[in-house]
Amino acid sequence: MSNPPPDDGSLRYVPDGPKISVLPGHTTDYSHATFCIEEEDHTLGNALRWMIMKNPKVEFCGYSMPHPSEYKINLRIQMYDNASSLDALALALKQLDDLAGAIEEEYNASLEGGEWEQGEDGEMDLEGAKRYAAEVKKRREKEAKEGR
Amino acid sequence: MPEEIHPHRLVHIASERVSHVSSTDYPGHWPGESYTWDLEFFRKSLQVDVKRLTPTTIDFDLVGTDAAIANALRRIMIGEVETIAVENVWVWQNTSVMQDEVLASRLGLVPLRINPARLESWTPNAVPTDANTISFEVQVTCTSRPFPPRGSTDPSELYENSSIYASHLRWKPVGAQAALPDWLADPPSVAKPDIVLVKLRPGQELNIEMHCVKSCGRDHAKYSPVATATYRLLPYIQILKPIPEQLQAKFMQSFSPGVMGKRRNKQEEWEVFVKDARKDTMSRNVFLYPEFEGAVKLTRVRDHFLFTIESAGQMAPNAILPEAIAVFRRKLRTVSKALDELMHPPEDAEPEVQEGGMELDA
Repeated sequence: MSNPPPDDGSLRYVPDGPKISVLPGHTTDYSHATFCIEEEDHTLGNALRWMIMKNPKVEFCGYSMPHPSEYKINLRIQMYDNASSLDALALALKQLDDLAGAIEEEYNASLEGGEWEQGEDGEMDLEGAKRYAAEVKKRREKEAKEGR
Repeated sequence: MPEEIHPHRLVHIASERVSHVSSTDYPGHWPGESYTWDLEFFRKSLQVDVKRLTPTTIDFDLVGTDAAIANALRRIMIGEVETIAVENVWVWQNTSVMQDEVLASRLGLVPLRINPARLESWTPNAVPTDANTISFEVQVTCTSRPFPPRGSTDPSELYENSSIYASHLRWKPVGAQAALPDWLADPPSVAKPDIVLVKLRPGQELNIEMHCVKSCGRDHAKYSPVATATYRLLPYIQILKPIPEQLQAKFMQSFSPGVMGKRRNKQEEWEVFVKDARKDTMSRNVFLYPEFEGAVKLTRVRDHFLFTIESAGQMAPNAILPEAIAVFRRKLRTVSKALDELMHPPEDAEPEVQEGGMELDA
């Protein structure tokens, strides 16, 4: 059962527990376990599932959203040779971060290459885009400093 | 000829069905092929090509990754990239024919061109400050023009302020906002000045104050930075046997214009070739004719995504994907941190109660 909505009139989802927890029924060595990740959906669930399945030590990985109005996912991992599913999950998170970084680098390189077609509805305001990017960078640096 | 594509990467398209849809790039699926994650290999095979960039849209190709990743980016662009929109409206005076709540709803939907990095995210029950709120106001009265053209029935000639546009929204700096150089270089404004909000007639008046906050499309569609964010797979067409000259026109017409081309081969005969498969809509009309049976194989490339992103106006189209990637990485960091705490609980914390752990027979 999920918690009732908050009394501020909004329909905001209130998490049942910590961001990530191990559901009952796991093996004592965590080689077979189901994780519950709060406030995540198919966006992270499917990406994680794909990356975990790319690990050769993984026997099975699958995820589900137990209910569409509960903002959480259940992620099942089963490992070969009693390896730890926690390690597999941590590794996949790291690998997905590398992947996202690689995509961003390629995208920026392609934008800077400038070999794209212009549209009929005018030219991009590239100077404005530069000012925009500078502001975003400033913000990110500030957030990184505050450890967010 | 287009480059040769590994058959494992192809989604097959038949006249009444599609097959080989699911990806098979996992260890242990194909004998002799590893498919274990390898960052260096991924970097080499990954391609991101911006194809077209206009003030409103960007088209780019994302090649070499799975639908799980492409879809995650698409979902984040629609629902989780934060932008700034009108959230609270104070209607001090509204004598127009439009009800207050309808007008307020319309104001909420006006896209605002404000760099979202300037504000803190809004949290329910937060106190509005210059760090999390931007204020706009509309103060207009409709009046009759003193000397309208004789016989005119056009309201814009007869009256002043007969139509209220998005451009009537005026930014009202609060606190330190008016003193920040970034804000003065690009002051908060509406993205499209020519949106009609309401029409007034002489004597009618609007006096409205709006608070704009930062939130995401999951909260309300008005915060979504994209009008559309979609992808499709690259079509890949193989002609398996030569098409006789008398059937070539019919063959070429069963594809979208520009997909097929005609050229002379080495024997100086006309032959049909695939000129630009990207333009095909996969109509499969070619399968209607028995004479083309076995002549062509229609497929799509499973890991070649053709993205089209149309900005709703809040940010430049090229800035949306990097924002989405940043959101994705923040999600990963949050889960990583939580997992770390789960694996190595702080010393002073209560030991985690083991619920129902059991031995599995090896």
